[in-house]
Amino acid sequence: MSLIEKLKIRSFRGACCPLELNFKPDKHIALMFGESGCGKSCIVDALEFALTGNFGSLAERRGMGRVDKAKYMHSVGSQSSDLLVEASSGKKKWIATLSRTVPQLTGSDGRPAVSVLRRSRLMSFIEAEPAQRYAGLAAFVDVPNCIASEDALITVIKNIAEEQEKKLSAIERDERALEEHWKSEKSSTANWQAWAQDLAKQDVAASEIESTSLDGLLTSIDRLGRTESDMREAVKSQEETLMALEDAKAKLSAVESSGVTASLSVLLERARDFLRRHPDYPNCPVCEKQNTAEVLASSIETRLNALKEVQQAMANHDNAEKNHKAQLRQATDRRSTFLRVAQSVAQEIGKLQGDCVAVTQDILASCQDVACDDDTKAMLAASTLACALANQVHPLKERRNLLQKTVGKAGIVRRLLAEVQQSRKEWSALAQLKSQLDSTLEIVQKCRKEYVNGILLGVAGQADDMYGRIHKGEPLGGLKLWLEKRTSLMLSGKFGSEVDVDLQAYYSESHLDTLGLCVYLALEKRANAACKLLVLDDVLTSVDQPHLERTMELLQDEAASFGQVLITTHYGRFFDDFKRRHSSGSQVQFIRLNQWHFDVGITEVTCLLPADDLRVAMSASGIDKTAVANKAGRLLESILDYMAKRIECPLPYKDNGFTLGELLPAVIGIGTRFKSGVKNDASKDLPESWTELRPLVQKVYEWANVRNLIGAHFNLEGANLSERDVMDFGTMVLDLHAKLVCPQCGEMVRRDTGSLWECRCRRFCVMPLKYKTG
Amino acid sequence: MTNSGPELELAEKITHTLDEAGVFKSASDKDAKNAKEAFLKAFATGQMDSYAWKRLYERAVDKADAQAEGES
Repeated sequence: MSLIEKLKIRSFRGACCPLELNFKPDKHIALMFGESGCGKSCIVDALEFALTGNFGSLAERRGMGRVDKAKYMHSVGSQSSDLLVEASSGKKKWIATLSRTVPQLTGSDGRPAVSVLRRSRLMSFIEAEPAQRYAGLAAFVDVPNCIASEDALITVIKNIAEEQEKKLSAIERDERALEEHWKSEKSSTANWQAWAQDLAKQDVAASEIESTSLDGLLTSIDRLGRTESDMREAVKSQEETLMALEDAKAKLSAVESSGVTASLSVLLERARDFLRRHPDYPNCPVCEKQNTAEVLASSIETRLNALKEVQQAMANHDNAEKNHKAQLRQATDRRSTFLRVAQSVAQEIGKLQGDCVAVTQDILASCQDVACDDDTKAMLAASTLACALANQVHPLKERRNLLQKTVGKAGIVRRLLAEVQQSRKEWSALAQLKSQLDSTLEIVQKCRKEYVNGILLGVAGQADDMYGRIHKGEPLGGLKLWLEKRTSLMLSGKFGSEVDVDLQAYYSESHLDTLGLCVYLALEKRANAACKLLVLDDVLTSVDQPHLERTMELLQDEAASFGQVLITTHYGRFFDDFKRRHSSGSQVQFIRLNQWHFDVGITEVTCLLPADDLRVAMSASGIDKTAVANKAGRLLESILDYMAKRIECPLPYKDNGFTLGELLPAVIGIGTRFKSGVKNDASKDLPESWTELRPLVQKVYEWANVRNLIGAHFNLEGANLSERDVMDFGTMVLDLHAKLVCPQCGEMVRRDTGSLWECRCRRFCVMPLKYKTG
Repeated sequence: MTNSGPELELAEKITHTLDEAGVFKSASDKDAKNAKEAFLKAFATGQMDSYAWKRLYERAVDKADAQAEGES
């Protein structure tokens, strides 16, 4: 059963009228003939569209863009929604339509695979640069998932190399920093490495402790200075308030010395208060003199006004005394604080370890005195200590800074050395990993190249074998395919004695075409060929007649590997010549297309093989003698011409074809050696029995005039021939044809075994191999 | 064509060669077998990314470290 038995096309490109094409289930190959513009490529595109949704040959045309191409998929005068292509086999149907610009595939599951080879693709393979050539074949040899894994490996190796570079940069940066420190130190050590190692080993704990102590001492000295300053300020204020108090006392004494005492003022104030409470009292409450209270009060008020100066002096004295007491307390407090801080500083100095140049003997003596019980002595010592320490702040700071620098540098050197060590360790780990991954990449790439080159080697071998069958006896072939880079496919071959030549430079266009065809056939055979419909769309354009025959023989042989094969051609002669060698029993279906027309679109002509054509004429009711004689004559001519050419019968040199009058004697001249036979087993050399053909040819020869009388020319004598005569002639020709065609494969012989001729399936034989005279 | 046949065929060849080179060497045969199978599947399906490649060798380092630790 064929993969595709029927193709229905509606409103698809050139098929402006519905077209239904039937592929015979028992025919493995369909050979479709049509002159240019008849619709062959349209039918091929329709098959591709139905099975894949691709736009076929239109997709390969450049400069239109995908959307534009979709716009041209439907026929002129119809809508894209009218478009429908349906391929079917048995009950299975695979439908393709177009929704706006998007192909829609519906129908049964299990769409058959289709591979379409157009001439443009052949040329692109041969003429392309190695990278494009690979792209054309990538579908056959590519392993994208494995390539993705390989790419990831390349990326990881690259990333590791970059990481290593970063580590090296970090090492260099840290080492440079160490060298700079060594230089700035002006160390006597011979090199920075030794210096850094020594410094890193150095114990800086004591320096760190002293630095911290000095830092604390400096803070305390600062505090001591501040508390001393506060104390002095408080003492000064206390002295000022004391002076103010003495002044107030003096002023009060001066006022009191004038006779006006403070007690009188108090007495008068009390009398005034009494009179205010008793305004009607009749006498003076002290002397009992008769007087009005009013007059008395007035007199008291006058006297009190005179006593205000005394009151002011008294108030000033009280304030001055209050201020002085407060300042005295503050001065006492600050003095205590100063002394306490001084004692604390003295303790800190005592804790300082080692020799400190800034701590003089005076300071140490003061430190001892500051803690004594004698307050005056202690205060004196504290002041001495504060003064002495204030003078030592600068050297103390220098000492502290020096210690801090030493400690800090040691820390930096240790950190840098640790970083260098860590970076080196990490770099080594990366180097080891990279080395392992490099080895892995080498293995992966080697395996992939071997794998792909293995495929290419097999393909090249197969293609070379096919090429040799087309170009038999020619010093060509020796095909080599190999990968130069990952995606550059190289191609070379043999030309005469030269091997590995650039084929494009030496081979003709026709030779390159057949080469491309062979390579593609070999590739297609690799990829699940038995389930695939192979379509060869007019790929033999530049091939000449002898090569065309052998190419067709090759295609016919190789077709057995594929599920189904459709070959289109516009060579009429080739089509007819190929047709005459096949009987209805052959595996080839012949399809002929009419000229395309707007009104009818693509149409098919009934295409019968010559023998079938004769049988139809003979079985028609009401015999057409002319038609039967004509068709029998043409069939006879074609089979005799074919055999005479194979056996190389002697015939006069002519530009055009031979007549029956020339062919029949020539074939009869072969003699009794002219015979055919069928082998039960194709592997055997000879058939079990032979049928001698000379008597049959001789008999046909005697009746051949029938064809000339009524089948070829106007001749009144033809009217004398009976229908029976014409039918007998037809039967004789069909009988001879049957004796020259294989009952198994339906083809005439074409294989030269060295001793006889065999058909494609090797079951049918014809003798002799060559005509012999004498 | 993303036919899994050729991918698997090539991945098997590469796995075999790497195995001969000792890439999948492990403390136990079972571990080595598991590592090989995981690699084969990942390589054939394009899932051997940067992390997976690194892990392939870090796994070996981990094992060696663990073994060294066990022995000590």
